[in-house]
Amino acid sequence: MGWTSPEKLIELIESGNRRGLSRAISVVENQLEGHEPLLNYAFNKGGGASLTLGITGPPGVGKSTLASALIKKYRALKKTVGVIAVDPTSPYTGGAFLGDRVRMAEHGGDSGVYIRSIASRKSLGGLSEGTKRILYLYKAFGFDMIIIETVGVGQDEIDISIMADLTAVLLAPGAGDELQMSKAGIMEVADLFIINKSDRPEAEKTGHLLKSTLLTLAKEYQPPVINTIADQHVGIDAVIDAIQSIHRKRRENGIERYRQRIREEIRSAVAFRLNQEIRNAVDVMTDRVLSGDITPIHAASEICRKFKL
Amino acid sequence: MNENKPIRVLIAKIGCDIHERGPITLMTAFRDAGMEVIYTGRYATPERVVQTAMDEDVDIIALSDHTGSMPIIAESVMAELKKNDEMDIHVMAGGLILPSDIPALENMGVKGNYGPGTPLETIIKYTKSLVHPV
Repeated sequence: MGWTSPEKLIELIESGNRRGLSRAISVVENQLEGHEPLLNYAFNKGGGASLTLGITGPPGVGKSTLASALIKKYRALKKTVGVIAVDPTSPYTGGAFLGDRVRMAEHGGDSGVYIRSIASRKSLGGLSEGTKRILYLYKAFGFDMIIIETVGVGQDEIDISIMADLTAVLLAPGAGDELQMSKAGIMEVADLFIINKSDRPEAEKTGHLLKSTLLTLAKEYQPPVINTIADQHVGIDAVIDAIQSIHRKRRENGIERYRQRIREEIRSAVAFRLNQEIRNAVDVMTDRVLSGDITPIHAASEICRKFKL
Repeated sequence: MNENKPIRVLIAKIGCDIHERGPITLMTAFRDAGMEVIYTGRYATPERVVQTAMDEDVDIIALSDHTGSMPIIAESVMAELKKNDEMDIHVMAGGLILPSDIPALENMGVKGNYGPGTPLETIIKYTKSLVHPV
């Protein structure tokens, strides 16, 4: 598929053509020619019927495997599923290994499942921006269920949790460290905790620890804790039930959340642009400092002046 | 084509071949060369590989095989690409390829055809030149 105009891509998306969607994603992700009309179209079209689930957690807890098990259930319910699988970009080389598909291979031949692997491109400050843009397109394409899978919980993931309708945090048994992390900030993003690999001996203990940590929250804010063994499809129905009931509750304070989301959408677009500009300016200034022209202190204040700070 | 857009490669293993050292080495090398690399996992089918390449909008499909079946694999992938009118996705091959198979592969439009011991720099340089011809 060669270069395709945004009008043509919109036409393809409207007719449910996956290749059109796939090319449109590359256009918006890389800011190729025509990305703005595409994004405007997608935002205006929206996707009222879609439900967006964020899945996050440390590496190796089974996020992709859980996503795969969820896809299977949703497909049995005749729902179409779009997945955004995010893996980290190397801050050193800008390259990335996007390996999540391997765990979702069984859905490769299903026309009702679309999986796109994206690199976090974090060094560009772009994780939430890239995901947001693809999310617009997914919603316009009209998937019933959208799953965003990201590693870890940092600022970017918190931003993504604002864009998702709800966020599940995945933990594996036996790691106190993960509970430490939960104290640090996971609490705010988790609508649902899932302890995967629950056939492991430490699962019960991890569950107790987590639940006692959650006791510090008021009762109505305590997220449910569900045990799963994703590779054996155990506990998946409970996850789906929890998603539905949380989503129902969520709708009640939908307006405030929507406002928060729009705010984040604007912020991430601006931050993305600014980040690019700042990087370019820093590169230029770095050369000047290295050539002995100015000090790093001068360089910083010159950049701030340039941006009228 | 935007020069800032990272090259996207799909590494594919079709058929009954469990030898993953090669593709894993290549994944790391491509990643370290600044590319975005996707892997199908083992036991993929030609239909699935081409569908994945389209869904992921990759520039290149890199076929890995260590069973001596590359001509069969490549032929089915090329046919699938043609069927989907996706002939501008480049196809490379590597692994255990019989020297006598290489002319037929080149004839199909399969590039590279690298055997064991090929320096990674050679592969990377060539891969980049496929997407951004100088």
